[in-house]
Amino acid sequence: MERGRNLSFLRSLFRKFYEENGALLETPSSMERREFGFLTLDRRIMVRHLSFEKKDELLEFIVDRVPSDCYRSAAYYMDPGAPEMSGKGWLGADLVFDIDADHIPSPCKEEHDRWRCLDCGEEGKGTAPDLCPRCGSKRIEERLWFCSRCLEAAKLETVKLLDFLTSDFGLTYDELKVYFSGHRGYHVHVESEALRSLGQDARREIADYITGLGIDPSMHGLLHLRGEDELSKLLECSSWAGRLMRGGYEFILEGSVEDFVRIGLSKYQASALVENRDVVLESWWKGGFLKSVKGLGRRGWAKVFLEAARREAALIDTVVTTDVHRLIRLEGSLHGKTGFRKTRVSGSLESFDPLKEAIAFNRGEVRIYVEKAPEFRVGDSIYGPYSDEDVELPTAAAVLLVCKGLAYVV
Amino acid sequence: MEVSREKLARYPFTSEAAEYIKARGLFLSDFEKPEFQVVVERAEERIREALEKGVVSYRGDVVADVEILSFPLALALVNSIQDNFLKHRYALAESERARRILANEEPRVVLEVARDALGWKARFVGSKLMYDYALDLGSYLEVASVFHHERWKLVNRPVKDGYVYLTSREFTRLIAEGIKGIIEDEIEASPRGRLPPKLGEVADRIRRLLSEKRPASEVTEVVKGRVVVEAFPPCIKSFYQALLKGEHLPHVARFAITSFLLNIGVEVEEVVKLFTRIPDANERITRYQVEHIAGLRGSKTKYTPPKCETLKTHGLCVEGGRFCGRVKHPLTYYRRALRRFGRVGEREKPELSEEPIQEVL
Repeated sequence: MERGRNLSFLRSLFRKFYEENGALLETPSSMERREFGFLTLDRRIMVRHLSFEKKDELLEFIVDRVPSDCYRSAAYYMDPGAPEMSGKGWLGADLVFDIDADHIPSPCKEEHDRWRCLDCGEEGKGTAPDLCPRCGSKRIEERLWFCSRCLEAAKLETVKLLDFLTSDFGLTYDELKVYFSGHRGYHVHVESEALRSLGQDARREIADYITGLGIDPSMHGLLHLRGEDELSKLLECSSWAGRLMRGGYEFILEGSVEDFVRIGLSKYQASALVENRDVVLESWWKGGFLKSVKGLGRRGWAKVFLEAARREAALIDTVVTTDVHRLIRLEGSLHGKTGFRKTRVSGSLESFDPLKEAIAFNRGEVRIYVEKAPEFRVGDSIYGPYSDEDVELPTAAAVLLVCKGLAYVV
Repeated sequence: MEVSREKLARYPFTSEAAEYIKARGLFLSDFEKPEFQVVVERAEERIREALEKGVVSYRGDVVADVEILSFPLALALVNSIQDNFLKHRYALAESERARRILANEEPRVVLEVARDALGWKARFVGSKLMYDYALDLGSYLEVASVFHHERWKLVNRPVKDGYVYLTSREFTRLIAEGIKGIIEDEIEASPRGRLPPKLGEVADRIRRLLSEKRPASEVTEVVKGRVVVEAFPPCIKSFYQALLKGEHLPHVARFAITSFLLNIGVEVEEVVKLFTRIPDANERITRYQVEHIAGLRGSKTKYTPPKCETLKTHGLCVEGGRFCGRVKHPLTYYRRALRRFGRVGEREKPELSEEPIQEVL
């Protein structure tokens, strides 16, 4: 009953949004070569293998069916509408990166994410376990929330990612598009002729490069350095060498004995490193750190650099980047879990405020009954927490709670 | 500018060489004429060298035209024999020939070959950076992602501004790999009709040599004796087929099939034999790796194959597991499938495995 009201409420709002704001919907380049897919609003079923020649046709379809979420392929196909993947004729794919709070450890998750076992009713906070700790069931429902802090953590990873793409891969800002996903993270789309035809193995190499997976500090020349000259030559051609040096410097600057023990140094080595901290940092950029701490040899330094790599890597979802048939959220479309828009970050990423700029519904207020909701921000206002109460909220805030399944339209 | 014939003789796989050859307007039947006898002999020699030594020699001593024209003829002979092992082996031996020649060339020539034959964007950076060449990222990834050593992993390379830095040795190794791909394509694209009589005799001789040189062709029998290939899950089956054809497999796939076979009771020796069908496999290294996975070396842990989820993340799962029911591990699939085969009457079973494995799959 309430669910039905929610659905018709969302359907009419979403439809109106697309009718009035068609211009905000971006179409991908070569749209006639892309596959499109949609999640239905009522049963959340994926309808895919669709193709559209023009934006008008696409918009007409969306206004007619009002899906909760719209997707399009990163890939280009000869026949994008073919019902089987094998019949589509893959021509290439944009390089896509997804940074989602799911993949970033942040303390706020323990506060605002919840899960519930559908079999025995056991509940908990934080990331959902694979199996219910009480009854062992796998049927676990997640209630993911998001806040300024996890969005900020995702943004930080995106900044790191952009550095990889520009300084390492030499991509220009014309070839990059950065989007807020509309929920818990950011998407970066790369349209580069030179990288379009890369297969899965090559894309995995790119993903591993950015996450630092399999990095071996000895291969970056830092464990056999012979002075400043050699270091500067290394830095001139290796961006990762620069990251290892910068990350290592910061780690040593801030690290405590416990931190150094945690990465696998012995207590003796860790204390020696702390005692000689100034000498190490002094000789750092002169390439003389290898011999600066007695008892700390190459294997020890390798551990320091592995920690540096962990800090400097960007936490992308590697599956998305590797998958050459991936459907990604359509630019400018609404996110069915929030009612926010997937929004292009056109200016500086640092000053971009997703909870403000991605708002799709600016007008009016809606009365809803909220079962339970934590404190949250939309635009410049903070709402909640609410528990079993009737409230009147600005449309964007109300839609968010309805989309999240935490509230019913009254 | 006229390209010297010597250069074409050194690099007969380039588009310049192809144009030169095309301009001669030769048909396979022309090679029956006595004046081409020396070309036919050299073509046969090329293939022989590939099978016997794994590398084709560079004959600077013969007339350049013989060296140039014997190349497309050898491709046509290889293609007419239609054998995957021979194709891979021949392409590999020709690429090794190119690598050896390139090792002694000036940077200018090396860059020309990289650009003209492979379309790569590269530049010579001299020794001022401890590396000799910089190669554009896209080309590097396309060619190097078939290598599995850590040294070739992108994350362990110096990368900056869209270029990957390489030593001279590494760069020529990559060019050779790229050339191998080109030659494999050229073999496929070369004429494959009925050979005229004299060339037919040459092909027969190569076939005889091939049957001597082909490694471990009994391997299918060995595997068959112990396990039921029909019960392999689709992913493992596809890796297995690839190995039989002597094709490259990504690292995770190699690990998966090795640990899978070891876990269902195939001996180390037999697994090693299966892998030596890959033309550039090094038996010593393969054996070491297989023994490691079997728990005979290193940490002494016997490994189990990755679970379905892991194979999925690596893109190795076949059609999202839609043939597998709700199985979560390749070994579970196999055990269940075995039980299914077990229900087949005893009398019918031998018939099933009588068929050559390739056809069953």
